[in-house]
Amino acid sequence: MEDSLSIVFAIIISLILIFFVPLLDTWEMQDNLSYVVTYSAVTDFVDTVRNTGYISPDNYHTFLSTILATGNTYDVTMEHREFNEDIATYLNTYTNTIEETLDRGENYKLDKYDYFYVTVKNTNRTQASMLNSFFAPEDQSNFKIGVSYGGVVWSVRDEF
Amino acid sequence: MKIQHWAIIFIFIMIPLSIVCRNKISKKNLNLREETRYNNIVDNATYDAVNQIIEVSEELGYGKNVPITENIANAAIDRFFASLSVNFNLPMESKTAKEYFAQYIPAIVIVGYDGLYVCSQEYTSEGYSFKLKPKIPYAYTYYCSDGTPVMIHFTLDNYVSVYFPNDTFLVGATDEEGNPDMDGTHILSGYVGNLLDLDMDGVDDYVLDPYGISALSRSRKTKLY
Repeated sequence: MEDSLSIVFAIIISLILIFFVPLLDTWEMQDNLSYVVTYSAVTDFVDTVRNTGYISPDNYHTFLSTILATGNTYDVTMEHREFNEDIATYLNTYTNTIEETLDRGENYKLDKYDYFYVTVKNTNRTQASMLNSFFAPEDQSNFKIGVSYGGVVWSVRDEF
Repeated sequence: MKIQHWAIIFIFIMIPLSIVCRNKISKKNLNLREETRYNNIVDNATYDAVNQIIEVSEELGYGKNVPITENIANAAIDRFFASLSVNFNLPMESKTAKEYFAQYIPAIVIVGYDGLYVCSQEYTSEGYSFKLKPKIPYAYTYYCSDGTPVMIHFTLDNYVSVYFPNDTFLVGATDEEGNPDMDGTHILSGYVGNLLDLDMDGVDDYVLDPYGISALSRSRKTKLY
């Protein structure tokens, strides 16, 4: 009796060690890689916009497909802060307005000295966080991959 | 004991160790991410501030040599804080941003050609404020063996200026009408290694050399007094 109990116990532990732990490890590594890919994609995209002064639909879709290639779904927020001289404050334009322009196939133009800022965070639960919550329950609203980056638009190209 | 007992005991010992190890590694990993992000943000803000100086100088038509005035320095610092606040997604009225970030930034130094600006927390009657201090020149006062102070003003490259005090007479220093200049501060400036003709006899007598300034003053002493 004592023998069979220890065998069951051994089977459970070996299952965890043989299957779940390597899986969790791989998936966490994948999350890390996804973060690196997303980070470099966001910085590339923002730097391109800051150096050219406009967002082209092509550019935006390349950016989206790069981050979606990590297998997660993302919430992308763009923010364009434009200095309004009449009221001497910054006026913000957000993702919806920018995407409307891009969906019409037009470039979204920014002016020199404007600020451009992008936040990306994943909306799905990654495989690693699902497996993790199997062992230790965690906050469901937590995102695993979050990147934000922005800066001043320095040069504006006139060739549209 | 059977082999699986040993195996279970082994696992009971190893699992806590590996869990601790794993936690530490994941914390380290998150740390590294944040560090990269913050470094990137500060680099970015610094780049924006430097770019601001260049842009302003282009607007004013200075080209590559920018005389960094207090206005330009202030504009660069404002740009630095605005860029920071964009990256932390904060509203960017420059005063709020400055006050918010100043707690985390001990000082900003703008290194210019002939001096530097320090912007740091200062206690005034209204409390602490993040303010630009007056320009600090790269200057050094040297005392000759007879106690006459000579001030040397260095720059980032090998251009130096040597200031003699009011009451010493320097051969060759003349005012606009060609008379020996007896009262104004005498300034001697040029690139290091420049040949100087102090007594204006057409023969170069001295070499301007900040390291050999004692030699310069010694020869001045023998020649002039």
